[in-house]
Amino acid sequence: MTRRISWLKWLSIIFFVIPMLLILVFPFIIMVSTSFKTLQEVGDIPPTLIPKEPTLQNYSEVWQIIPLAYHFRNSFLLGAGEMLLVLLLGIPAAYALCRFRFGGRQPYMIFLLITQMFPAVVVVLGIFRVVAAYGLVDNLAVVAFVAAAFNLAFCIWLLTGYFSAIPPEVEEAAMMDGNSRLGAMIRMTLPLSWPGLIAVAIFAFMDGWNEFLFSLTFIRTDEYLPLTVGLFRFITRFQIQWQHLMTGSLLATIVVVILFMMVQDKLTRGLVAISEK
Amino acid sequence: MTVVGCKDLVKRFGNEVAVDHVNIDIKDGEFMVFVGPSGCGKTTTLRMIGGLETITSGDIFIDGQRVNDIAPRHRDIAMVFQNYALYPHYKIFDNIAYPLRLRKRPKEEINRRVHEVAAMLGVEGLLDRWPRQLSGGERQRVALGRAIVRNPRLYLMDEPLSNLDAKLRVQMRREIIRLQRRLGTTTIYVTHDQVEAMTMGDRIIVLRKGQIQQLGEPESLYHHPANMFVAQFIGSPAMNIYAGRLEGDGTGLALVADIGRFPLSSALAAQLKPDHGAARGDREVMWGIRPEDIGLDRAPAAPDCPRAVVDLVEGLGSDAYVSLRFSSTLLLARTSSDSRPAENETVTVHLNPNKIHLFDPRTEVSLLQAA
Amino acid sequence: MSVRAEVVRPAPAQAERAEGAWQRLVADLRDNRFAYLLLVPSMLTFAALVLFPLGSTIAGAFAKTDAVGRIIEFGTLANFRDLARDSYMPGIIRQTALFAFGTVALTVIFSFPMALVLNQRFPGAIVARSLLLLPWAAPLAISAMTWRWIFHDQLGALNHLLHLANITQQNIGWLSQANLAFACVMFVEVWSSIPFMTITFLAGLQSIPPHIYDAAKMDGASSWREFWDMTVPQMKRVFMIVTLLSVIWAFRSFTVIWTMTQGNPFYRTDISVTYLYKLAFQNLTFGQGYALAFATFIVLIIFSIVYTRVLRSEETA
Repeated sequence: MTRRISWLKWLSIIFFVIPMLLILVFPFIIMVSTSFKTLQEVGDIPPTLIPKEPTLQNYSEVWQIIPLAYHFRNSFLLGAGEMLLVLLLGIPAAYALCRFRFGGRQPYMIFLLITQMFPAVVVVLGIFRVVAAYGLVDNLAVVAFVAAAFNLAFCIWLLTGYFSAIPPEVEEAAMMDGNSRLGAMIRMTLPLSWPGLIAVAIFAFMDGWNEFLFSLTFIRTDEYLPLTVGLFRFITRFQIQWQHLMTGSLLATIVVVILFMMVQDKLTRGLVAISEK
Repeated sequence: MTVVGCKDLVKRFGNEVAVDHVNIDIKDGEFMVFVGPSGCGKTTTLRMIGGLETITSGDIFIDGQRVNDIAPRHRDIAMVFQNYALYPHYKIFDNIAYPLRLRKRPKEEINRRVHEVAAMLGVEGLLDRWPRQLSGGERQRVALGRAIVRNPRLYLMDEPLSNLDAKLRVQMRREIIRLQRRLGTTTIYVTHDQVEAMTMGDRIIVLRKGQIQQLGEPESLYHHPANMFVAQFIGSPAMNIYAGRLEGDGTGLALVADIGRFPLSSALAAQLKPDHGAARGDREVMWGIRPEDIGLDRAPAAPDCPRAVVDLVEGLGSDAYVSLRFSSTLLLARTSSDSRPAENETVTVHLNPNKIHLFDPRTEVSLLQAA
Repeated sequence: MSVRAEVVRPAPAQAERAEGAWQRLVADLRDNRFAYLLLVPSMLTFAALVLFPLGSTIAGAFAKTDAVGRIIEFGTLANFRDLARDSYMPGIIRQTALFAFGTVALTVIFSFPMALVLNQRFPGAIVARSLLLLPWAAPLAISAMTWRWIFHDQLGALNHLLHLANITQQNIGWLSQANLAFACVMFVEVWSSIPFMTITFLAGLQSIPPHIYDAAKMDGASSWREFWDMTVPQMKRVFMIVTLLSVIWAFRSFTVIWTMTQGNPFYRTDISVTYLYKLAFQNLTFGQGYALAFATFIVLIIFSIVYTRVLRSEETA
């Protein structure tokens, strides 16, 4: 009977999984391929997958044509900003949810759920008035803050999962030894859950790096745009030099992908825990 | 008429041999118990008979037919699992009805059978509930019901009672035995608990590290263990076993141990295997005596009768376990509570001469023939 | 838990009960001071960045606004009236519904079999999992732009592949023809949703206790029966939750459409959120933007409530 299953399995792998995976990674293949092409080759009809004359010149040119350095800096600031904010705001909340039973717990969790249901545009519209009035346009901190607020619920869920894995006895032992609750949390729980913390930190960083809508709305000057919006502007503004766009895209993508691969395991495990709720 | 046979059955997981050339013959209507410590291969063997594990080599025959390549659902076997494996998304009625539904039996028949079986097991009132609403004992009965409902030719039970509390376990044990006697179907039962094995089995197979240590009726395993492992596995508290020597002189053989010298009774000597080797002179042995075969006496006896100091007395209500300290040996004896000695008292120790067990120190095999 | 001595007690009057509730609240705050303190930072953030904009939007929906969104005059349904008169609205509504439900349906159709296969062991399964997650990790805006490049009529990879395969020699304008463009944005949305849904399904599959498959085998189930009777019912719950989340996310999806078509051609690829963005920031008719945002939000809430009701009744059934 196991033999009968086997060939069905192999068949489905070949005819389903492999094509699916190809489609899933196709854009990245194109990114790589195009980034090594010259302007001439990009305009070639028919286009080629493996460039006939691979070149590295895009990688040096792109920095002049687009203010890529600024974009990188801004994306980094957004990522780091969101990461810090999420950790600062989320860790206390997750800890409270995890270790305490109090009346406000259920309402708070329901509230978290509700915040996930908002279209981001609602927030954008509502805040724009304030942002414009106080001259906070072009302020990356504002964008980081808004993005963090939006991502907060999900990250709190993740953190709650990671904290629950630490047995409360450890903290109780620390408190017996003379720590306050806060001290126990800082000295015991946080260090013990550091893999989970790193996963959430990187997740928040990635969210900031990948952010689009808020930056699009609240940032007007090129200098302050992150990679996502910056590259997008490149499309709509100039005559599109696809090879440069792809090169920039590839560079922008590699950073997060590498980060992601590092924490992939922990993240998916956190996801699993959430889906079980 | 359901007969099960295993010939040279082997199961390998990677480099590890879980079942090592096992040969079994199970008779029709028999309640056969596989017993042994965890990892001994009993569950693996059971699962191979059921078809849930592939066979590395060897054959399994049910009713004379070789079933190695036949899927479980065509073997007409039912299985009761250790954690019951009830379908959580079906109500109890549907859980029990499932095997019949799969076989597309008519609705009235399914209805009738399920109610019959539920009544037999006392779970009729639970038919409309969900598995998660039931207690351990109730789930156990439903699992049994699911196995019984389609009247298979063979039952496999994989430690079904180990998740129940002690009292419930004893009660369910009796129910299972009664059930099996009433249905008369061949049953293979796996457990690590030797008490369950002894009380339930028509015959018992003791397994260790994938190999059969002994196959026989409970009495036979108790009185004539084939090796040291079986001797210490069966019977509680475990048999006392220590090193000693067999000496032969003109009058007969005697056991010489740290605690004293014991001439073998003629009955015991007659049971020695022909190749026991003691006839040719002295021989190293391992000797054993069960706690219940040790007698204690306050009165000082003959000078060469062993005497010991009572180290610890554990009272169990009707019985008492007495730890006896000799110069370099510790024996555990069992007496009735009434006649138990006090701690630090010195007593005379009598070993029942017909109940001394002898084993080869190297192979651990018994030197006595089976009855 | 203390045992209550009085069994029968006359029901307290309404006012007394309310007072009791208030006292309980105060007591709770006092006893769990630390916990509530820990929640303060995040609550403040939510209040400022979630509750406030929501209130602002609701207020603005019912008011006349100026070109920067400030409220001039409150208490009017003019915005909703203007929306209802907007000739593009029917199309937008249709497109939004189609987009949200269509992408989720398609994502499920591809994710579930993917999860089933990935649940098996085969060489390269781990690599497959990692590759699967790539669309989720990468910046969506950038992936969408790359797809835009692929869909390019003259230089794009898709047309080239079609030429090669001899399916057609035309240069299809994927993003310039209304229906095709809509299909393309749906495609990219599905593409980006597959990783998350597949992983969630996979987690669900792996949480099914394996012994019930053994029991089913012994009871007589073929592999087909095992799938229908065991796998599918157990997955129901995961399935419902993940589809709810996905529909909500699809409703909110902005980046894909904006980077690929910006709603063109002629608003035919716009959905509610992109259209309202244009109303506010391009037409500068903030009032209508607020109104549409509010309407979208209400639709989402109603949908979630209805859906959760259905989910809960399914569970107890």
